[in-house]
Amino acid sequence: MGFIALQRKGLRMRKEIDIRALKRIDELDNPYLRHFVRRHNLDDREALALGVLMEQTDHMRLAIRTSYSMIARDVGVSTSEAYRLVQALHRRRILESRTDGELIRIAFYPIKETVDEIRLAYKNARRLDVVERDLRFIKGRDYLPRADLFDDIYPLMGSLIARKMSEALRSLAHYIDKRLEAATSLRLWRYRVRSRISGVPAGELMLRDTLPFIVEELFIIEKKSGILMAHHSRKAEGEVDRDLVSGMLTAIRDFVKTSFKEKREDEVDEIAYGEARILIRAEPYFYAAFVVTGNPDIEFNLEMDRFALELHRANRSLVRSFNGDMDSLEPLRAPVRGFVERFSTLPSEEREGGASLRSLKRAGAVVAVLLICLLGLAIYHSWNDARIRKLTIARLAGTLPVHMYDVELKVGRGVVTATGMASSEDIVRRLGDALASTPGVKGVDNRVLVVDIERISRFRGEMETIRKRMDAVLLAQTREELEKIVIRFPINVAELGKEQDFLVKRIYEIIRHHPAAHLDVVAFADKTGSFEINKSLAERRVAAVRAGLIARGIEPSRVHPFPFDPALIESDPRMAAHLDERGIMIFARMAEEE
Amino acid sequence: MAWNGGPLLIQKKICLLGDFAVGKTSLIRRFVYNEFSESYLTTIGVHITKKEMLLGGDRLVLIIWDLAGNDGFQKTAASYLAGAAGAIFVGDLSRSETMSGIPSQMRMFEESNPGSPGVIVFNKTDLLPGPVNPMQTSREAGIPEGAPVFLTSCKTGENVGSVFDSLAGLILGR
Repeated sequence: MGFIALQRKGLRMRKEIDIRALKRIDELDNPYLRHFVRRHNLDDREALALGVLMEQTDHMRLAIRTSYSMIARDVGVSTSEAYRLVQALHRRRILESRTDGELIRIAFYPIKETVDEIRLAYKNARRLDVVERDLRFIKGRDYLPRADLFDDIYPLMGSLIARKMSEALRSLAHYIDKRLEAATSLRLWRYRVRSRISGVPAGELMLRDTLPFIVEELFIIEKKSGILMAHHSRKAEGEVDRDLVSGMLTAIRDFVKTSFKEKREDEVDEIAYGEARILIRAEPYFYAAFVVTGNPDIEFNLEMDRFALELHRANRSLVRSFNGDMDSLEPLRAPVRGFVERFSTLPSEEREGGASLRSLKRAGAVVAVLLICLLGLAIYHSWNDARIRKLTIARLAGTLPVHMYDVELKVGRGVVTATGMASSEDIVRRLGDALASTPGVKGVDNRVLVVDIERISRFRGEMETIRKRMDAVLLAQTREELEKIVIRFPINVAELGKEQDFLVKRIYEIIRHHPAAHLDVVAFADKTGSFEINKSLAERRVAAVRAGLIARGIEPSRVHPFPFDPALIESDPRMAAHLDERGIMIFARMAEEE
Repeated sequence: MAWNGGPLLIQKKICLLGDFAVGKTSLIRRFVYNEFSESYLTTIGVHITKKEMLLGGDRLVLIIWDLAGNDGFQKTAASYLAGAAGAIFVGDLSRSETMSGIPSQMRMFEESNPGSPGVIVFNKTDLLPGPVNPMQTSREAGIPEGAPVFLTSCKTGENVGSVFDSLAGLILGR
């Protein structure tokens, strides 16, 4: 046979082998094989050889002793080709091939990933392949009928729309949050307080209130056996054993998958009944079943995904090696309980409005009661302190000679503070004892000093006398000064003009240095004209001068209008010397001289 | 969580397989509730029960999957077997055809749960007039040797507890 013919025959044979290889690979198909083919980029014959060896080693569990000729026979290649293929797999560290006498020993290296994880990875990869294929198809079409367009675009757009909606909802919640920060409404404080406690942004809480939902229960169930690994319920346990519920739920999932689904990798995502739904998120070794009532939003879907994934990540080895030992599942319980508690507050619409007002009223009532209590307490203490002060004063007066002490008592919340003087240490001590023994006194702060009381009293007396003499001298001087001033008015005028005002000011300057003096404002008039007219005019002029003095700052209680009574004026020794005057005069005196 | 040396709480799934009306549900009712009823109600799909037992001081909770024996559920039954730690294969002594179905059920279980133990039960001894040789009955049915064989009566309660005790021991390797 010629070289070319041989080549052609060789090529033809190679083609036949490849087709046969592909068919065999299909028969040997398993996730590990696909994993190695993809990972190491094996060609068809390498994949076939690998598949055969996997089968012979009971899916990589056993080590075998064989020969290249036996491998060649099983794979359907020449012995040299078999040698090449085995060495290729050996170099890629998929398996180890060692000479063992006349045979070779083949053993697979262990791999970390389990078949479920590989299956999940390829499921996702297949989904991506579908999306890429759809995208290529769409790009290649010039015109798409609407229905076709929808069918083509939906797989791409579905997740995109979900993501965009999620972002939009997040932006909305953020916007609401910002508005809430600026708002001062009391009702919005409820959201702020809930946000502080729960750690969830106030805007999101508001959104949840408009679309209420609540997580009733959460089951974490081992995927294969249906054994309940962790569970938490918002309410007390129901009538049906949750272990049995988990089993039945698993049975239902298996039933649906087996009876209605073509691909075993597809999962039951949701079981709905009435207002409630069981939302299922599957991970490699368990699935999480969220029992929810109400309308969960898209964000909650993401929350469920995140929770399940995080639970798997944090407890991967635990759930993978679970062998029925329930105590080993302790690490799952806290996150499960935390998730249910986080979504177990039902934002009820009937609590809006009236409920807010009720809360406000309640708060107001509490504050009012507190204020009343505080006020009442203050009043009681004030009354009690006054009572105790009276009692202590009476006690002291009844116990000690009054000339032997001079004290000031202050009472604050039942504690008596005594300041002042006492004639001896003994008096100070007896004073303290008397105060302490007064009913109601809780404590005594005795700051009384020991001094010579008699001497001080004498000194005080002398000082008082001197003061009075001084006052008398001052008064005499003031009188003398004031009596020099006569305020005269034009005929029939009773208002203060410039001249009168000047004199009032001068009177004020004199009297303001003598704050204890009182003033009598007296009107002098002659006998011409009728008495009544003169009286009226005089009284009006007196009033004007008085008003002028008060306006300048003299206390009204110190300025007295003297009655217009000639007989009275004549009889007053202060005024008798001025009977010939016509006008208003001011006479000073001490208050007790009235 | 590290074992602190105290009693363990272990949960295991076990399955009951067998043809229809061989007494699978009655076996469970007798074991779990200590009850028996002559009336028959076919199991639809699967029925799950739970029973706690003490084994050497440890608490073993058995989640018992009672699979329907009807032919129409065979495909679904296979998926129900996943994750089972053990199985009880039940035959009706008064109907020999139910015995010969046991080997295929054992194979189906083995495929889903390689290495998990099983126990053979020949039920309804109360319906037979005389004694039964379980090993001979086993051989005649083509049942492979190795698995423990029990003769039971759910009506009288004969050997019912022993079946589950034996399986529990095999599961826990005791």
